[in-house]
Amino acid sequence: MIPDDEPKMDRAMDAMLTKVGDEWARASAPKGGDFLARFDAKLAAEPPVARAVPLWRRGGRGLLAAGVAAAVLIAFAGMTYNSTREVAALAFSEGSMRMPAKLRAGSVVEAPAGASGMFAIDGRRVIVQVREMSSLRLERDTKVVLDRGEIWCEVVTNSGRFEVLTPHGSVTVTGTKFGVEVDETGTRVLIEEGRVIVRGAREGNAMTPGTMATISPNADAPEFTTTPEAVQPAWAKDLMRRAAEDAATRFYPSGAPGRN
Amino acid sequence: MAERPEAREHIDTETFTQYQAGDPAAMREIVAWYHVRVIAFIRLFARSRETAEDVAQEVFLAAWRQRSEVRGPAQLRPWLFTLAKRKAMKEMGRKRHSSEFTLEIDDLSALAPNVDEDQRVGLQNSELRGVLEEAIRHLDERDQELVTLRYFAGLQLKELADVLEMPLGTVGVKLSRSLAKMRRTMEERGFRLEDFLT
Repeated sequence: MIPDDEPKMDRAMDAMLTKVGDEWARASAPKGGDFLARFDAKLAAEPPVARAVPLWRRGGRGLLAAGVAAAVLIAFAGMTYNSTREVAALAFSEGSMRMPAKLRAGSVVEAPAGASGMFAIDGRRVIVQVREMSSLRLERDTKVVLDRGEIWCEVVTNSGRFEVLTPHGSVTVTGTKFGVEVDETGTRVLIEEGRVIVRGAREGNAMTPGTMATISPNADAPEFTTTPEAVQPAWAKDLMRRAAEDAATRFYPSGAPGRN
Repeated sequence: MAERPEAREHIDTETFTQYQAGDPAAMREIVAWYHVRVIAFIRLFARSRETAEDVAQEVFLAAWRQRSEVRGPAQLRPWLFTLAKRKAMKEMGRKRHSSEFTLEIDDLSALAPNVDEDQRVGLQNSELRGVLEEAIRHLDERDQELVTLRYFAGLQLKELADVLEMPLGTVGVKLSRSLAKMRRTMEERGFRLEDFLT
């Protein structure tokens, strides 16, 4: 039982401290996506998780030891496999793209002025077109870090998660066509099809076609504005057309049917 | 009682289940969800933003390694702050932190829309900050913990009861007493709380 002379909750103090706490959180928020990227790197260095099986189902110490040994071997093999396997393949490029011959986790791709390229990631689950003056890093087959420039992505519907990190936030999709542009003023996200989750330093929200998201530097959350529905930029359409023409020319060296 | 937007939110059950099953994507979701408040909480005791972020990294790594210890999505947030406090104290190399509490907010003027521009400049010059720090320092260690977890970590009363291992009613009573004591301290320093409210 609470005594009658017990002080009631001071709502004014409560309201002020709530504001102070929120202000403190805003002031303490890490800038850009560095904190999340650092944690990602630490998480990637953790041993892969073996499926948890209760001890009583493991059939005694011998089986337990065998299980541990197998888990260690699998972990080692998995780490080796993950660090050496190719996660993306160059489908088409123009100009002098700077990138390693084999695209593995951690590979950096740079498209200087006059260069652009198109990649297939995770088989052909994700197609990423890279505009000139762009730089990105392939974290793994489900994640790309765009440091600057512009990309256009097409992810096969219902094929699993794909994520683009920028210095200002992140874009998470599970099957859609969308573009991300990064410069010093922030990150802009356009979507042509499907649904993506856009996050700022602190909060995020879903966006669908007809919307553009802008993540300003140090912004807690993205801002959403209305856009026309057909948003695929001209450079991405042109790049796709030139890539198709290039593929047709290679297939029909003497000239593709219907072309003079 | 004032509600903050994220105070009612927990990670959804599906994400929590995936996290416990060892899905790194679910862990990343949890970090994205909670890292700002965890860093803010640690920063109350750490000397620098960089140290707070380093400790927060360790907190989330521990949350990944010890994920089997969490009972459910509602327990995750209180548990994270328990880990955060333990890690922060270890990092700071001390068990008592009452005299080290710092609140380095550059601009609290948004709290005082009713006062004129000159007074707001005064607030920005950390007058209010100093009085708030002092009011919190005047609480005993257990009440400081209660107030900081409530307002800087953003925990709900039920979560506070879990973290502090107290009955829910006791948490409410202790919080009321702490706020009353803080108000007295501030008024003794000449701060009329009503000036700071919309």
